[in-house]
Amino acid sequence: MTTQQPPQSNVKKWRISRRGFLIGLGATAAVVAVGVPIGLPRARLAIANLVAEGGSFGSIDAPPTSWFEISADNRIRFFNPKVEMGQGVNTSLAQIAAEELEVDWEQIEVVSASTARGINDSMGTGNSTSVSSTFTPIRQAAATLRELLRSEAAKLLGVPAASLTVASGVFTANNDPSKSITYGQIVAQADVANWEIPEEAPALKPASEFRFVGKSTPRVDFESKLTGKALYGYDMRLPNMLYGAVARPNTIEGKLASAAPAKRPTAPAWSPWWPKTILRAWRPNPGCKRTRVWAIWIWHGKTAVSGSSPKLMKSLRWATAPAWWPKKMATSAICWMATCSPLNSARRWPPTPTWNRTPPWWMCRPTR
Amino acid sequence: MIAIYYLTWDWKNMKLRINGTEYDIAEEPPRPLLWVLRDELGLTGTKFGCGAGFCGSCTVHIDGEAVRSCVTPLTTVAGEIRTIEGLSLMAEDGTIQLHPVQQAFLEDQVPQCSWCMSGQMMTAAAFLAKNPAPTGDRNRRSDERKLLPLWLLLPREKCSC
Repeated sequence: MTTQQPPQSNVKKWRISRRGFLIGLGATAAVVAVGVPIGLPRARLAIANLVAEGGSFGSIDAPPTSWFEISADNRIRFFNPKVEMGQGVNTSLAQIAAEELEVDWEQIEVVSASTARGINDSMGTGNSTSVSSTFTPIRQAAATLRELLRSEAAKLLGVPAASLTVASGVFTANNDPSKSITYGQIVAQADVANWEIPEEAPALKPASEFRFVGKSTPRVDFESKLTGKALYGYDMRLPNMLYGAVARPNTIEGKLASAAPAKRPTAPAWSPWWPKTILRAWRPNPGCKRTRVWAIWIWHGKTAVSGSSPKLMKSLRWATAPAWWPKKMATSAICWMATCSPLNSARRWPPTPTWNRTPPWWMCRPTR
Repeated sequence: MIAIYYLTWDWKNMKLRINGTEYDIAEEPPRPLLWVLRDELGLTGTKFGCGAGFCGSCTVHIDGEAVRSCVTPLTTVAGEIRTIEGLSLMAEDGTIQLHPVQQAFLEDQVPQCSWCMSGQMMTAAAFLAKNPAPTGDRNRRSDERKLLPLWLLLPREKCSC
């Protein structure tokens, strides 16, 4: 099985500021992050503020709910706590972040924040609240990161912080345009562990100066989706992953009578029918473990055959057994076909010469 | 004849050529092409939608023909497979050259969640390869209507987001 994992954060240590921001430090430097806890319960925020009194790097081992990382190549990776499901939250939150970070649209990449330590965002994603609930915290975190970088840029360039203008992720000295430094260069050079975190939240941009918010912007995650590289939740393949399936009754008002894992079928070590397989052990395809799902569901209930209108019967035709099949067996057997991996049934029934050469007949479609 | 077939029947490995790369895939157990692409080769750009060949999310090209990989048994595949990962070209300098269909989708910012989009693009790419200048005249399908069952005349791609 191919294992695919989403991009991981490079930040290993977190330190909390008095304002409640978390400042992250990369394990190998050249990465700096500012994050913000969004939707945390009040009690946890209070604890976070206590820690802030004497916080140092490593005192917080959990990442915040949302954060930005700046890498040496002057790109921003935004870890989004909200779930992108087509509503465009990756793009809209990136618009908000890019606004205060003063970077170009192409410099921003959005990835989903990891839920390895539990639910990131206690508010969830829904009720059309993603933008309204994160608008201010994300802007504040982004502005804090920008001001952190500004004060470091001033030190590195030897000019007052107030004399620096920023655009496209580059600080330039007002009076000397030859003096400029990118976010990435600052992160690569600066002593991040000793950065001074602003005590006051920086002033936010007025709405009249917005470049991205409220403007039509290309989807930030579109190119990866165009080329098939984007990973959806359904695409994740993790080691020892468990799979579930919904078992549906094939009868009306059917109730589950029993469910049990079935014994995994094994091929005989030898077979008179297949001389080539004599003394050949069952050789499962290692890449195909997921398809070996065996279980039997038995349903009790009114059968679909009796008391149903012809129209309903027509719609259920695909789930009904052949006429010659005993009705009692039909319930479990057909259900097994519909809910398990029917393609494995090649081992259950006598194989035919054309078994795996022809489209399986059970790949039928519901009639409409 | 049947007896002879049984005698020579064996589990084999088969070669699949996907996006220009050759893969060695076990023929057994019988399974749809889509499972091999997604679970064994990690080509998750091809999506699982309905699993019954309706929605078109799983469309790939086999020798240029748009095929629903969720209802295509692996062992029936003969020919070069192209998935969404192979629709764009990688230029010599490492930049990605989008297929004209991808470029058009990008310019129009087409989808919402994009789950079924790779299948839509593969279907469109195969169609345009055969019909470089489609007229958009739906009446031209009247011949098809006489031959095909009703469910085939439903919209060929279904997006449910």
